[in-house]
Amino acid sequence: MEIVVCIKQVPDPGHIQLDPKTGTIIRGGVPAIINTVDKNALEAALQLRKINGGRVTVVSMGPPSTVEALQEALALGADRAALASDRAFAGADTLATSVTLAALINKTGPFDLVLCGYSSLDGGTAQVGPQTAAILEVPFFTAVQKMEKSAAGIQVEMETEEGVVAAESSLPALATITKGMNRPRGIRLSEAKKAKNKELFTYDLQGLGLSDDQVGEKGSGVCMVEVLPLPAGRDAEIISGEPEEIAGKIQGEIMKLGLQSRGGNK
Amino acid sequence: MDFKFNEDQEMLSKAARSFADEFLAEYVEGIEENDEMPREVIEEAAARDFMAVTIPEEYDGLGMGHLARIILLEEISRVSAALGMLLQVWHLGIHPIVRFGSEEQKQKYLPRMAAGELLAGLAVTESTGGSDPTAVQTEAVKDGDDYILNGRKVYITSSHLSKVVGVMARMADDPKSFTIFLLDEDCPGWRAGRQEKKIGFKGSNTGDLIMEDCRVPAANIIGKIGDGLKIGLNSIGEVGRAGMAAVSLGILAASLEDAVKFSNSRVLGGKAINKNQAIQIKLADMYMDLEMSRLLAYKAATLGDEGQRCDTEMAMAKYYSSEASVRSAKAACDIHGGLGYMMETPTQRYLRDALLVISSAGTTEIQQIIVSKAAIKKYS
Amino acid sequence: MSKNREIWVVAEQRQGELKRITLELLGRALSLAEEKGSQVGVLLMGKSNDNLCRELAQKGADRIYSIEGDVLELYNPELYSRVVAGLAKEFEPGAILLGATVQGSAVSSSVAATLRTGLTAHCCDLSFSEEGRLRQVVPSLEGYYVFVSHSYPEMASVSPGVFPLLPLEEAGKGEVVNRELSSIEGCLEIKTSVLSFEKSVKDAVSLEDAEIIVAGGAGVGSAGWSMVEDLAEALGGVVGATRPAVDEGWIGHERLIGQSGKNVSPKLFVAVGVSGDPLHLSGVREPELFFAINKNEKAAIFQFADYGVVGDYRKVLPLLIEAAVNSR
Ligand SMILES: Cc1cc2nc3c(=O)[nH]c(=O)nc-3n(C[C@H](O)[C@H](O)[C@H](O)COP(=O)(O)OP(=O)(O)OC[C@H]3O[C@@H](n4cnc5c(N)ncnc54)[C@H](O)[C@@H]3O)c2cc1C
Ligand SMILES: Cc1cc2nc3c(=O)[nH]c(=O)nc-3n(C[C@H](O)[C@H](O)[C@H](O)COP(=O)(O)OP(=O)(O)OC[C@H]3O[C@@H](n4cnc5c(N)ncnc54)[C@H](O)[C@@H]3O)c2cc1C
Ligand SMILES: Cc1cc2nc3c(=O)[nH]c(=O)nc-3n(C[C@H](O)[C@H](O)[C@H](O)COP(=O)(O)OP(=O)(O)OC[C@H]3O[C@@H](n4cnc5c(N)ncnc54)[C@H](O)[C@@H]3O)c2cc1C
Repeated sequence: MEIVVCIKQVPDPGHIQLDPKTGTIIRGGVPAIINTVDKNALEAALQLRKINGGRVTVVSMGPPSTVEALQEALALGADRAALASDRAFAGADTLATSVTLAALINKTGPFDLVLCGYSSLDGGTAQVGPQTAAILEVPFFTAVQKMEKSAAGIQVEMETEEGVVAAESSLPALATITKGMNRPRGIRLSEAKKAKNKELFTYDLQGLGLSDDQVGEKGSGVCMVEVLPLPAGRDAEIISGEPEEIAGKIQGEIMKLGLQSRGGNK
Repeated sequence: MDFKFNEDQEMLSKAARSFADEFLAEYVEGIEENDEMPREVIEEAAARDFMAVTIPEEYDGLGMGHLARIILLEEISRVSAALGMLLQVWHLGIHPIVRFGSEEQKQKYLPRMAAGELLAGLAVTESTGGSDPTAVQTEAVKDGDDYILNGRKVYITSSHLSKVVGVMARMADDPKSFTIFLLDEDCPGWRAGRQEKKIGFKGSNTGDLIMEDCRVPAANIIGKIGDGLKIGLNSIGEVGRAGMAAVSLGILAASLEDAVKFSNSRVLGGKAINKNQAIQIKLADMYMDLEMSRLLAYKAATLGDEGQRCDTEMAMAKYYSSEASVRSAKAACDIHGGLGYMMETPTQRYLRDALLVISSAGTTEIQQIIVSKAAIKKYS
Repeated sequence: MSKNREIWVVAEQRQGELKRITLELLGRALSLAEEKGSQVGVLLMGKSNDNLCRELAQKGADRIYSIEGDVLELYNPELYSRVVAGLAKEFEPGAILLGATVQGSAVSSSVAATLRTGLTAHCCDLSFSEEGRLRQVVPSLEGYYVFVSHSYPEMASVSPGVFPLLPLEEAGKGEVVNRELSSIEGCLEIKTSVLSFEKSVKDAVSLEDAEIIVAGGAGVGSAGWSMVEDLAEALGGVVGATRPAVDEGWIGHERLIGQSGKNVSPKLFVAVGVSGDPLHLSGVREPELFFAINKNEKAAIFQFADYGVVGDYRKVLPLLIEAAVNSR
């Protein structure tokens, strides 16, 4: 089975800080990590490979430093990696991102299955998976929590707000994976040692056979035109004192609201 | 002089950090509370090949060097010094076999140790004083092809967990001669005794190891009869001290991180406390202690990796970093105010763990003797 | 150029019932259409749509594109996307709105890529600019980002709970346009088959409807999480959560409040171990009374709450639970 996993490198959310003066995100110096749910997608791929044989290719679009994320994926057990990196890709929305990823995936050769995370920790749109599927013209599933190879191709369970939908399609196909799918493995040092001998390809705009109006800011379908300020807060009054007093005061304020108890959340 | 980690070392550091932050951290509270290392933590560490770093590749290990091992132990000890200690002594138990063992012994033990199936240890200390290994009273009497061992080791790390322990014994027929015997599952007559209750390293088991007419085949001798002191001192000098230095680095890093985080968020009189010079000086000292300890440890390890002697350098690293970790952990507690000494705050744990590093693998006084001897020799 | 093109809403139904988000979208689409002098079309897929068509017409939809079929009873991402994309190509609407739900996200994404047009996710507001472009507002850490599309249809997915429900309009006279599945481009070559649907057991009171919410954040930790649940129960409310709490698995994703989760409008909101990130608070709409408990006095949450307690929640919550139980 030829499986491609899309991984995105994102800033570690625990380290993001806002400039107290301007209120904008401080972009420098934030450590980058693999988007966490992409590790679940990779784990799912490695498990499928274990059962069905084949090869796992990890792909990403990002600046040159994204090789670190790909190297980590190789250390976790992926067989090879490919990166799309070019100044022209900068400022991409999800459509331009998906066009680039689809070209990259096609560049790596024929595939049976593409796996993505359900959504990223930074942009968080959950759009890239299904958009990449549309451009690759393959059937797709989102929010997949269970998956196995079946006679017809692939069988999945999708999480929705109301319940679980089980579905099946032929291959090739694409699926976006949720956290509930598995517990991603950690790096095995013996596996990691092999990583530096694995293939890692890098492609630029030309290498992917794309033109600059298909990618990056120019190829995007949306653009950000304005940032509106967040609403002002209420500036809390701090309640201090012994825990008993605090609890009493809070309960008093709640009583003033005069709410009816709805009998709990059981 | 190249102060960069190589590719393998970078990867190792990343792997160890993600294990520590993403897996181990969840267990720390429980480890402290129960004073026990959960099976699954040891199994996960083994699954990630952390037991195998120093074992040569031909025995299913990774064949990585001293520096790699320090990087690994630092990252783990940053989150749990107890697990750092457990791993450090595991590597310590492995070292005599790798360095001085016979081919047969290597085949027999190393692959299973690399896989994490056989927990290893090294037992030298007795109640007669760990600082003077020649005071060891455990005696080995020859009996046909075997030796019969009697004695009691104290303060032995993983005494109740280890499946293979290198034990230093005095030869009955030559009281000046010491030998290291490998006690394994096939040697009847050895067992764990008392289990210590320590102020720190909760979850790293320490206790007595008792040998009562313990029968050990001659094939289990490491090196030759009489090599015991040389092998024991080499193992403690190069591996034991390096390990304790690395555990200290972890405590230093954790203390600094927590101190910075807290002093950023604690606001008194309208400003964060780290806007006060008195706190800033503490942070500066803590940072320098961390960096100096790293430089000493990394240099010693690099010498070792180049095949040079590094016992004096390891002694310096162990001495400096263990004392520094106590200073730094205390400063972290102080910066937290009363909170720093409450059980809910990890800084008190750093301090308790740091105190124990000083007495393990050779006390400060012993390191001072080693370093001063080297100084006198070099500069006389 | 798009002045009179329709604004579309892609309806979501489950077992013959419209989801609330669809009605929220319809309400907003109607006011947007009025502003623009255009009309609202609702695209409805299902097994048999008569009742829902009537309901949608009553609620003011000008045109209901109804596509029926057994295969449309259950959500099929590939098929649903083909239907929407196919009809959009045929009728060329000016804008298409969907819910930022699992289904809405999937379908909107696939359709936007097929049509090679822009798409904005998780909108919390929509309006028209002076030039007549759809301003799609999304909360972010730095403020509200306003996106516009370069092309038509302008597409957006909207978070549930941000637009109010519309009162029933009796005089609805919407026209129903029926389309055969087989006549829509690409709908005969579907490779996906849906095998089953298993409804999940729902809580008595959903987050969106709750008047009392106790939200727990990363600061709570797994060991103390039950305290948050106990407080919610003692107060007669429900539990909500921030993304880290959901990511850690302390509670299910359906309890997530904020940009990528639910929008809530409770009367009482208690935030425990929550830092006060805009991407969480964007989902908390104007509670009457807002408490925050956080051990960091600099935490942003204190700017937004009415009352704050600085300290370890583990000291305060047990007493608060007791007080709440006693005063019932
Ligand atoms: C947590 C822990 C784990 C341990 N694990 C192991 C293990 O796995 N295997 C093992 O073999 N041992 C282990 N030890 C034992 C450790 O190596 C000894 O505690 C250490 O060597 C000191 O020995 P001692 O406790 O007997 O103190 P002593 O040797 O009795 O020393 C008492 C004091 O006298 C000082 N002193 C001794 N000699 C001199 C001198 N010549 N000049 C100046 N001062 C001197 C010492 O520095 C110390 O302050 C462990 C200890 C601890 C605390
Ligand atoms: C706050 C914010 C809001 C935004 N809103 C929008 C919007 O509404 N519409 C829009 O078009 N753009 C939007 N963007 C831009 C968008 O984030 C970028 O286009 C980004 O490159 C991809 O989208 P995502 O992070 O949302 O991915 P998601 O769709 O959330 O990611 C899902 C999965 O796709 C894969 N994937 C995503 N990106 C890559 C990559 N670069 N390389 C490999 N795999 C990848 C991963 O498997 C990932 O888990 C927004 C950005 C921000 C910061
Ligand atoms: C595209 C995107 C979408 C997102 N969508 C959402 C969303 O829908 N919902 C959401 O919630 N987040 C969302 N996030 C994440 C969001 O940016 C924040 O990271 C998140 O809300 C922070 O959660 P937190 O407050 O629980 O955790 P933290 O920011 O880690 O805060 C924990 C707080 O707990 C306090 N604390 C710690 N211990 C204690 C104690 N013992 N007692 C009292 N207080 C304590 C700490 O002081 C701290 O302030 C999104 C992010 C992105 C980029």
